[in-house]
Amino acid sequence: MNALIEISDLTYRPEDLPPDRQAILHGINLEIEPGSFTALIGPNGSGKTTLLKQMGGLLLPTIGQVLVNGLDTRDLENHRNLRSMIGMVFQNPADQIVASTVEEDIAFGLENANLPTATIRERVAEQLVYVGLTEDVARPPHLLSGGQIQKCALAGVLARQPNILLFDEPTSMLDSLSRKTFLQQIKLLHSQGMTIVYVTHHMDEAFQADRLMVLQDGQIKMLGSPKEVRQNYNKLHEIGLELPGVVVMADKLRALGWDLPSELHTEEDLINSLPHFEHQTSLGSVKTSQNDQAIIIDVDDVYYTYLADTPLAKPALQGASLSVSAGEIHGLAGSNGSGKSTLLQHLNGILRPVHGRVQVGSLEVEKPETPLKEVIKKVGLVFQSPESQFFEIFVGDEIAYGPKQINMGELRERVKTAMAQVGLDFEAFKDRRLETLSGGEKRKVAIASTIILDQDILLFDEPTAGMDPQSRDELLALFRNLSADGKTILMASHRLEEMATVTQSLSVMKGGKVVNSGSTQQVLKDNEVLFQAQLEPPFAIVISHHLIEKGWPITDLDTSTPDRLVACLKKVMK
Amino acid sequence: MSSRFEFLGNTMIGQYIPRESWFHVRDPRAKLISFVMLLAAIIFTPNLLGLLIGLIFVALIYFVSDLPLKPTWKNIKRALPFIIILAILQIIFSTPQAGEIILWQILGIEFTEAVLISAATLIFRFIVLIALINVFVMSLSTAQISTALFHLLKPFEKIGFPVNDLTMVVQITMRYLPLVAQLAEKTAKAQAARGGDWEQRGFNPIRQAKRVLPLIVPILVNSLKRAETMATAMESRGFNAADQRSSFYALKFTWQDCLLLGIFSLFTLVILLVGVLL
Repeated sequence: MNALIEISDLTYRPEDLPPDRQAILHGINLEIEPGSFTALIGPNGSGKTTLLKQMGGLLLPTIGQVLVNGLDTRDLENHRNLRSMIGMVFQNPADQIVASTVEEDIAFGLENANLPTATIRERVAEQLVYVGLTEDVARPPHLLSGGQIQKCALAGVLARQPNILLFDEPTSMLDSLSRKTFLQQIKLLHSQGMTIVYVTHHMDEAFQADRLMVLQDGQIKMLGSPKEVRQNYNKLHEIGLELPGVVVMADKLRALGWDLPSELHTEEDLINSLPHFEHQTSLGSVKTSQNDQAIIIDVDDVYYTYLADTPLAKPALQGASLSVSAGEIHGLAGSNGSGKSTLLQHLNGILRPVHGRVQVGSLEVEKPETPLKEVIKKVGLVFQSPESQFFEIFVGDEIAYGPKQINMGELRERVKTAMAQVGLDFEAFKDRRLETLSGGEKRKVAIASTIILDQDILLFDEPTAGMDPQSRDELLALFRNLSADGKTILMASHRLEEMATVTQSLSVMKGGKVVNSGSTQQVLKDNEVLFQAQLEPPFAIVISHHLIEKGWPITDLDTSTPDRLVACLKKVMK
Repeated sequence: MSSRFEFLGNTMIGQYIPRESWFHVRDPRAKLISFVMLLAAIIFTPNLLGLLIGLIFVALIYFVSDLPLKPTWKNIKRALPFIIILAILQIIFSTPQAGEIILWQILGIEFTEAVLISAATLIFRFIVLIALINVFVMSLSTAQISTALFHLLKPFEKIGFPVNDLTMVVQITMRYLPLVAQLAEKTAKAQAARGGDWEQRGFNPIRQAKRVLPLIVPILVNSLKRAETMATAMESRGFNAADQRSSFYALKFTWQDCLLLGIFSLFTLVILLVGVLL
């Protein structure tokens, strides 16, 4: 059978690229078979999106050619046919929605095809049912959750009945549960014969495809089945990518001498092959560390509603309470829309509650007369994707903005210290233009520009969102260092895997309330609460639950990360 | 307490409230024309009685279409200080006609009956206008507005008027305003969190201007980035302005829409003529 997408010798350099910079893609040769599911993975800035746009005919090759179903993308005559054959779903859900309600947006692509109104209505209704948005037909898109917008975008693309679907990191803005649902929908489409190319930097997603392609610096570095890519683990690691959690876990368990089958791709595979407990052991006393530090953040029964008194009023906090001890790293977990960001913004006085008490250190933040400037000297908040709010041109100026506002002295020294804290070299970076930085470097600048005020308490809102594994690990290490310097850290995220590695205590939010709070390992073991809050427990916890069922005496041990789990298993096996 | 960072609440667009009322389900073309007529009547009616009839009629629309008064009341409250300043300016800068009785004289400003009435008319006119514009945005969705525009302008396509492009521009602008408001909100908060001066303390235009400047760069940059993504998304879904497009909404003009137009025309005439005839 002929390939559906045929790329030969593709090189792409945009016209405005400076001559000293490398081409974004070079020497790409690739064939994609009809009905296949190809995952495209690579670090930030490796050219994944550009390659995808080339396949969709949205960018044209500088050298070489791209044929889709035999049609050359460079021939503008072909574009009308290409558009109707290919559907694309993009990364940022909000930016691809054109119309002001869900149904109108799904209709947009059909209007472009100049179909009669009756047909449009029919297909829109069909798609609404298919993706499950029948309840939200008339809602404005900026008031939908990320998962819902992404479904809406998918419906808008599917309504045009394409044969090829191209996805550009469609789940990067979604919480773990919406991510799972979305991926299931894609796998269903694949089983119905759709050709799919899927860009992601989640390895566990990529491994569910039947072919994996690893891109780095605009070149294809690896190409093959998930199994083949896995075997070449060293190369993967060199590129800065990591194996999916299940593979890592299985390897660690094998190292304990466990006999596991060599082919383990899905979590179910591993769970089904876990052994029963057949050792003799008397378990030592369980030590639970008591935190006797003073409470530094004390939030009690806080209520807040966005756009109060308008038709769009949306309650965000409904009786939230939280306490955080001084010096700890505290996690705030919750799915999208559970109120994490709103709660963080109450802690540094950006928002003031309608009702309730917010005590931070000695400050009564709930009182409108407590000046914001006093609060922010004690509490720093790094917002979600903070690099989108840069307004200076050079790194040094951006970082120096805060101390200039509140007239702190020794500006240069301060900037230097803050940059050192996040691991950026002062001399090398202070005069760099912000737009020339990589994604991970930008995030570090954003963090430096907040912590330069030397606050005792630091709040981070989804600090690792959109970061590749390497940048993410660097950030987590940075949090540990800040904590070692005596800072109290509160970090909001829906990725419990990270929470498990870095936090000491954890609070879970749902529907504007904190529904569970305690030491990280205890909270993570409470399956019921996590499920209710639409969160996915870390994989090590899932495995340990299954092991407990099979008789392993690890109920009271800390098994929240793969390493800790393995350590516990070693202890009980001897 | 509403927050000083809620920019989204300050945009009128996207406030559409779906209802099944008789008024809501009328043809958007009829609604659009009706609103434009009534708007003109309220702007041009010369006296208080015309405005009073206008207000009663607008209240009637709220009642028929089952819409809440609270958001409108909030908007009026927000605009009131500015309207009052305008009214005061009008009093200060008006010169009494010869033969008019001067009611009071304070600090050299002469208050005559005519001036007071005109100031009151000004305040009243703005209140009725705000109420009307609010009912307009709550009962016509942005898509209805652009569809209505598209169909009303369609005849001009023959003389080379780019109707398709224009309605798309209107639609995307309306889609974008709430996004820009959200972006401004986010950026302002981020700056405040780093010591930016965002606290409201009295009226100080220079400080306000200084506050807005650092917002402009990130908003512009982000808006352009977004526009680029959106253009790509639109292109990938086959949008090509040069081609024929069809519409999700099949508009059907019924006798009930004629009735709506009739009622509005009648009130428009009454509101305009009441001042001239009485």
